Amino acid sequence: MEMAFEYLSILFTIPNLIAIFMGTFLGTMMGAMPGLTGTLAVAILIPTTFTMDPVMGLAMMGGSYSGSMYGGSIAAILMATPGTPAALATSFEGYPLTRKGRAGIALKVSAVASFWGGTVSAAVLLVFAPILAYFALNFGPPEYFLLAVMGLASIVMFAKGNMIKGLLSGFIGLAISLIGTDPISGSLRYTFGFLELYEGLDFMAPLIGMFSIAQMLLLAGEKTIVQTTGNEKAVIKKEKMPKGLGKPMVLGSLMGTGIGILPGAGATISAFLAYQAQRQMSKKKHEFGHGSLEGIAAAESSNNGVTGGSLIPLLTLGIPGNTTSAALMGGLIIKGLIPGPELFTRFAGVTYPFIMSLFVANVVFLLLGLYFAPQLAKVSLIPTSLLIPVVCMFSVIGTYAIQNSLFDVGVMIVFAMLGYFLNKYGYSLGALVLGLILGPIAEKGFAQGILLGGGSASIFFTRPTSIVLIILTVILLVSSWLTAPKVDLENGSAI
Amino acid sequence: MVHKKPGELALAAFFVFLGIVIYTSAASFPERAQTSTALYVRFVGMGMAVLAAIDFVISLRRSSVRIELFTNKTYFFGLVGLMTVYMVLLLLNVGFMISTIPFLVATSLLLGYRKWKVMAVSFVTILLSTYVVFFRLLQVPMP
Repeated sequence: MEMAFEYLSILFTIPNLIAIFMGTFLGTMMGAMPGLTGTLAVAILIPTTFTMDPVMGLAMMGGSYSGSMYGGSIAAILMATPGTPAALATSFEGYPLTRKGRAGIALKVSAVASFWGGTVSAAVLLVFAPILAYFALNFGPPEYFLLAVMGLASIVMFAKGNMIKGLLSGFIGLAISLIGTDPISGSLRYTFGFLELYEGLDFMAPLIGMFSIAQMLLLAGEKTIVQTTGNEKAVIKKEKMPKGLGKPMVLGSLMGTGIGILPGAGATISAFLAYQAQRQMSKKKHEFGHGSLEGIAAAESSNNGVTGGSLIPLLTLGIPGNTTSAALMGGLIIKGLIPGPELFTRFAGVTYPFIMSLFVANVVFLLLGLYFAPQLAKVSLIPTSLLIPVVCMFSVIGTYAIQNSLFDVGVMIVFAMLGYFLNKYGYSLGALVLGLILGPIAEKGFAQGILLGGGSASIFFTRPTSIVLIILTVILLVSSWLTAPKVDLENGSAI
Repeated sequence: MVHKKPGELALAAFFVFLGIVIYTSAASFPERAQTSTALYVRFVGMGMAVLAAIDFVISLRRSSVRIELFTNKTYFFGLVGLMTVYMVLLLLNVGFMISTIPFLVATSLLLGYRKWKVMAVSFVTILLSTYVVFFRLLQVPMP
C-alpha cells in the first residue's frame, strides 16, 4: 500500500499530468483522422520524449495510445470512416445513428465504453501482468491461424440476408491480402511489377477508400449527413446515457484485454468478436446494423481493452502485442528500460507510475469525449458540399502518411470505386476488409502450423488451446446462423 | 435505375474466373511453398470460386430488381475525376497547398455550394491548421 502511494506521488505532478493530457489529446486527434493510427501517434512522440523524465515520457506515449484507440470511433460514428481499423465495427452502428440525428449519444456511449475498456485493461495489467504473460506463450502458429479463422467466422454476422455474398466478400479480402511476398518462400505474388506491392497491400488505403471515399460518393447530392426534413438542428438530440449498457461494456472490456494479450491478434479482431458476441446475447438483435448502442459499447470497450492487454506481454516478456505497443517498446528501450521481469522490480518506480498513468489518460479522453460530443455531433449538420472536399483531403493526407506513398492514394481511389459498386450489388465491405486484415495472420499461422506439424494438418486439431478455439468458433458460427435476422432475401445484402 | 441481375451475374462470373486463376497460379509457386502457403492460396482460390459460382446460380434463379446505381452521375464521376486530378497534381510535385486549394474549391462548386465567403474562410482555416498542426508541429509527412 505504501508503495502504491509512492508511485502515485511520482505520477501526480503537474508536468506529468500536462504530459498525459497532451499525449491523450494528440492521440485522440490522430485517431480521429483516417489513416493516422495510434502507432503513428506514439512514433511521432518518441523524439519529443528524449529529454523528458522516463515517467513523463512514457505517460505521454501511453496517453497517446489510449487516446488514439478512442479517437478512431469519432470519424467512424460521424462519417462512417473508421479513424483506425479497430473502429470499423463501431461504424456499422454509429453511422446509422448519425443518419438518424443521434450522433451525440453514439459519441457519448463510445467515450464511456472506451473509458471502461481502458480502465479494466489497465487494472488487469496492474494486478495480473506477470501471470497472464505466460498464457500468451501457449499461443503458437496453429492457434493464431485458428484465432484468425474465429475472427473470419464473424463474417457470417455481416451476411445479413445473403450469407453467400458475405462469405464471398470475406474471400475477396483474403485474396487481396495474398498480394506481396510469400511469407515462407520469399517469392513475389501478384505484384504485377509494382515495387510498391512487394510488401503487400497496406489495408489502410483500401479501408479509407471503401469506407471514407465510397461513403462520400454515396453522400454526394444529399444536403447533410443527417437524413431529415424540416428543422435539422432539432434532430441533434441531447440524450441521457441509456441503461443496460453495462453488460456489453464488461464483455467488451474482458474480451479486449484477453485478446490484447495475444501478440499480433490486435484490436480489430477483439472489436469484431466482442461486437458479434454481444449481438448473439442481445435482447435487441433487431437494432444491430441499424444503430445499436449495445454494439458500439461492446466494440469500443473491446478495442480500448486491448491497450492494457497488449502491454502485458510487452512489459513482462518484451513481446509487443501490436504495432502500437511495438512503437511504445521503442520508447521504453530509449529510456533504458528493457522489457522483462526487471521492469517490475528494479524499475518498478517507473513501470507502475506508467501503468497508473493509463487510468489518468482514460479519464482525460472520457472528459474530452463527453464535453466535445455535442459539438462534434454538429459535423453531421455541415452541408455535404463543404464536408466532402475536406474529408477527401484528409483521406488523401492520411493515406499518404501511412507509407509516404502516392501509390497508396491511387489504391484508395480504386478501392473507393470498387467498394461503391460492390456495395450497390450487395457485397459486404465489412467482411471484405476483415478478410484483408486477417488474411496475413491466417496465412502465416497456417503455413507455419503446417511446417511445425511436419506437413500434417492434424496440429490444428490436437493441441488443447486449438481445440478450445475450434469449439468457440463452432459456437459462434452456429449461434450466428441461428440468430441471423430475417430479411428480404430478394434484396438482402450484407452490411 | 438499372436492373441488378446483369451486374450481379457479371461480378459473380468474374470472381469465379479470379478464384480459378488464383487456384491454378499456386502451382507455379516455389517447391518449398507447395506444402505450406500454396495450400493456403489454393484454399482461398477454391473458396472464392465455389462461393461465386453458388452466388451466380442464386442470382440467375432470382427475379431481377432495379437499383439506383448513381444518386447523381455528375457528382459521382465529377468527384472521382477531381480526386484523380488531385492525385496527379500531387504526383507532379506541384505542392500540397497549390494542389489542394483548387481541389477543395472545385469539389465544393461541383456539389453546388456557392457561398464564397464561407468557403474561403472554412478552407483557409482548415488548410492552415492542418499545415501547422500536422506538418509543422507533428511532422506528419504531407504529399
